[in-house]
Amino acid sequence: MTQNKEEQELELYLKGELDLSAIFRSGSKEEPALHVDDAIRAASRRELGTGPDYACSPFASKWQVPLSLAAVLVLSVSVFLTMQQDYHESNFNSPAEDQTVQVKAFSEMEKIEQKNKKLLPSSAGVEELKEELPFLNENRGVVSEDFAPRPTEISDVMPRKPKKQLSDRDSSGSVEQFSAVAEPMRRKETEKRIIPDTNMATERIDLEPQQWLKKINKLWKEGKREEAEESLQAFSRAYPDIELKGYLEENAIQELKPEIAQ
Amino acid sequence: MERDVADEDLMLAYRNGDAVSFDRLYSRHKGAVYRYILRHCRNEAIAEELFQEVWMNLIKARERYVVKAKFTTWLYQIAQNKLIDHYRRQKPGAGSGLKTDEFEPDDLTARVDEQPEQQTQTGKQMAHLFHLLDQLPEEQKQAFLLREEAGMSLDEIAEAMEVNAETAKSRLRYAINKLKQGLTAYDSE
Repeated sequence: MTQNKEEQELELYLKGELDLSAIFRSGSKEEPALHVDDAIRAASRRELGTGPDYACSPFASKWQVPLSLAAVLVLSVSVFLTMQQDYHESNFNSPAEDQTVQVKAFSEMEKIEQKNKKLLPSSAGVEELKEELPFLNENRGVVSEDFAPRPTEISDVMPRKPKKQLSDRDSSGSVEQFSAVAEPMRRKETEKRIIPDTNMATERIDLEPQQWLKKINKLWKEGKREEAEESLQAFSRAYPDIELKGYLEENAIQELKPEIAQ
Repeated sequence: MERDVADEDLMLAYRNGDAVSFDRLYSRHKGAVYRYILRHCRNEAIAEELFQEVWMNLIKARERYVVKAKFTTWLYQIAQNKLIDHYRRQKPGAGSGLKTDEFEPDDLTARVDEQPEQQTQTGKQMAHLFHLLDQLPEEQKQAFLLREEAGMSLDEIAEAMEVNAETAKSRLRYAINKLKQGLTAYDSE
């Protein structure tokens, strides 16, 4: 009898007619956490060989590596070619460009030299200074090392100066150290200067500016006006910053360079 | 529409590389499998861990998958094996024949008892039912949960539990009878 009753209840349960299922299901609604869902879904894709990042791109796994290699190759070749081209351009500049760059550099060096001459007093001047200041006499070492003005570096800011005198170029004085470097460079630079559009166009000038001006003066005195004029033009191009007054005769300047005479 | 494609076909599609099929399969069964494990181990953290292991096993076994039985039978067999492994790790010597009275009382029942005024009549019945469920022998509990959570027929329950149909029917019958009696006694109090 009992077993029959149990059988009937089981039948009712399997048909869903017992309230047991309803009570159970009303409280059975738990779900796994979202992070668990994500982890399992990600694992399912990893197993297929398509991670979450690649799932959107059907070509990613096939094309990514070769495409990257090709891009790297193209970039490398183009960078190499550009560098090679730059190298050739820098080594084979036109003579005119070279001359401009060299003259500019030379002009800058002259300015620095001038400033040093102005800033550094002669050794006699330093001695006078020491005698005037008793406390400095007691500390000569300190004076010579700590108070002596230092030569100006190239990187220092340079104010614009008026045109230089030729006498400045010849003086040595307290800028010996700097001149020792600058002078050979200037000579070398002077040797390289090419004077175009004159009868001296192909000649290298091996004269100092002072000698050159004397030569112009001489030509003018000898009545070779055209030659003197051409030579003076060449000189002005080569040394645009050197004043002619005092080195050429007034008459010569008036005739050859009237704009300066005025 | 969602149920138009059989579980087995979705699993075969996933085996052949279709990730979307796995998503559909997972969405269909994740809740039931999770609750099946949770009702057994009664601890959310452990349930999540075991749940994850079940699906990882399934994912790793995808290449070997062939349709021999219903997908759910296979899935719940994996879940049951994971539970047995878990019990064995907890208590050496314990296995599939564990009885629920070997464990501490269920957390859910305790929570219900803490706040009795907030419980509706159905809520109280439900809490009591879960308590009764925990008192059942493991096989009867398993048969009941396979029916309720996985929606299996008697034959499917028998296959999942690897017993014959009569044994499965008997286990389910005992489970129903005990739960029904317990609820009736609770209602009459």
